[in-house]
Amino acid sequence: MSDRTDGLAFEYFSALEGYLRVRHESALIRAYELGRRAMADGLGVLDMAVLHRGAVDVLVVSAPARDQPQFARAVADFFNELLSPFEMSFRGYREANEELQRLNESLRRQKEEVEIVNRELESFSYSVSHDLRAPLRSIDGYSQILLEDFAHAFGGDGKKYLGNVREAAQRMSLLIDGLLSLARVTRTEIQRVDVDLTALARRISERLRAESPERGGRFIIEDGVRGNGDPSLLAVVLENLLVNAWKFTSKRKQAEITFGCEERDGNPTYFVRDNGAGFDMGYADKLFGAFQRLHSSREFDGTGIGLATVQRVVQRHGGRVGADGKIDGGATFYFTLGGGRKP
Amino acid sequence: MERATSGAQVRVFIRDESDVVVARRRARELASQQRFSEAEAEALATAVTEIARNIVVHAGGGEILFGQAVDGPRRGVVVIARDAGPGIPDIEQAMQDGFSTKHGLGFGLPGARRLVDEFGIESKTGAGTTVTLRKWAAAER
Repeated sequence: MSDRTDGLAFEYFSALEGYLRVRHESALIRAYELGRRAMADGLGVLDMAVLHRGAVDVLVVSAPARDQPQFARAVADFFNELLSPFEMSFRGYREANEELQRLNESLRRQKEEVEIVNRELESFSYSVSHDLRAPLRSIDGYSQILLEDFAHAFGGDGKKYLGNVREAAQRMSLLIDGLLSLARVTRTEIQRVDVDLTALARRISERLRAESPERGGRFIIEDGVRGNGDPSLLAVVLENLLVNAWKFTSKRKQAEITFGCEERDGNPTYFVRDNGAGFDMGYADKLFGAFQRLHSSREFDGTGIGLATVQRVVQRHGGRVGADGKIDGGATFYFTLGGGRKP
Repeated sequence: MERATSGAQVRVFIRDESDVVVARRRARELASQQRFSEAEAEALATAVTEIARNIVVHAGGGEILFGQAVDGPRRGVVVIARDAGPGIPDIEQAMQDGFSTKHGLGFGLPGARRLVDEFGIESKTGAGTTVTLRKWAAAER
């Protein structure tokens, strides 16, 4: 027993002893005040039972046998007083708990409503994107026909302008593809399995090197990196991060892109690091927004949807994404995959 | 205020801890006259302790009136605690647990409220506070 409970035990004993001599309210209120103080000190009901038993064990010895019923009654009344503050507090906690449950229930309902609205918005954007593709194909297709079959009808400027029309149409088509894949990422059900991320990263990097054999540089891919998540969605994440890294190192003579996994704040954290163009950390929060671009498309092409898709996939896994970088000093993108919990 | 009060009222002046003791004894006497169960009587005594304590701590003095409450076939106890202290500027806040560290455990006025069947409070800054409690005996067991 600590000094604190020792002191309490002595006070309780002397108050109970006094109450057994003269059954007076002032002794009862001492028990009440003791209970109140014990409660505020963080003691529990079982501590009170120990306190009470200790006092009764001693006092029962001196109680005459014929007085036993009154003795039992008096110590019970006294114990009641000690416990009353706990009863009062317990009612408060019970009330607060009921209130919390009500709040929880209404939060759950609001969440459901938000999810329904989100799903509707997603299917809306999905069908709009889908419907936009057909007229776009017409614009590009007919421009191509004009350029090929009616070239004689246009001057040099006319042909250049038609070329611009086609370029814009193709760019818009890329944007729509990005939007569709973003919507798909949001709609697909996540299947969690063990995924060999090393193999995935190797496949993507080999493809990138084959696509631009003229480029120097290398990929350093850590062996044995595995993650728990949806295989096709994790492929989308690595694809976007590695393609980005490859793209933003295109002006380096010796591009170096590293993929691996390290422990950060106790969580396995996957990263893709490059020595490319980097970015201004002041805009780091804009990186993952859809259509947000930190570089002009003249400098590096792209739609600004890739990182938004990465973020969406990672969030759906219950994980987090982040980025570190410096202008012209390379960039590191990292993500976690949550602890297998449902997002 | 006196809708359900009848019979002789008992008045206890509250100045210090010893008056809290007297108020509790009156609460128990009335509870037993109204055939409260032991647990009901203890709950009433506890509520009275908290409002009496409140008067001692916050107002420095006041009084508590005890009476029999009658409502049709129901019998109970009505307790009216009055003081001319500084009053409570924000009652809603005062009735919430955790408003002050003292109330953080569900003691004080919110604690008293949960131990009785009806609880009323009126307060005017600078003019004091009146707390009314009613507790009914459970139907014949």
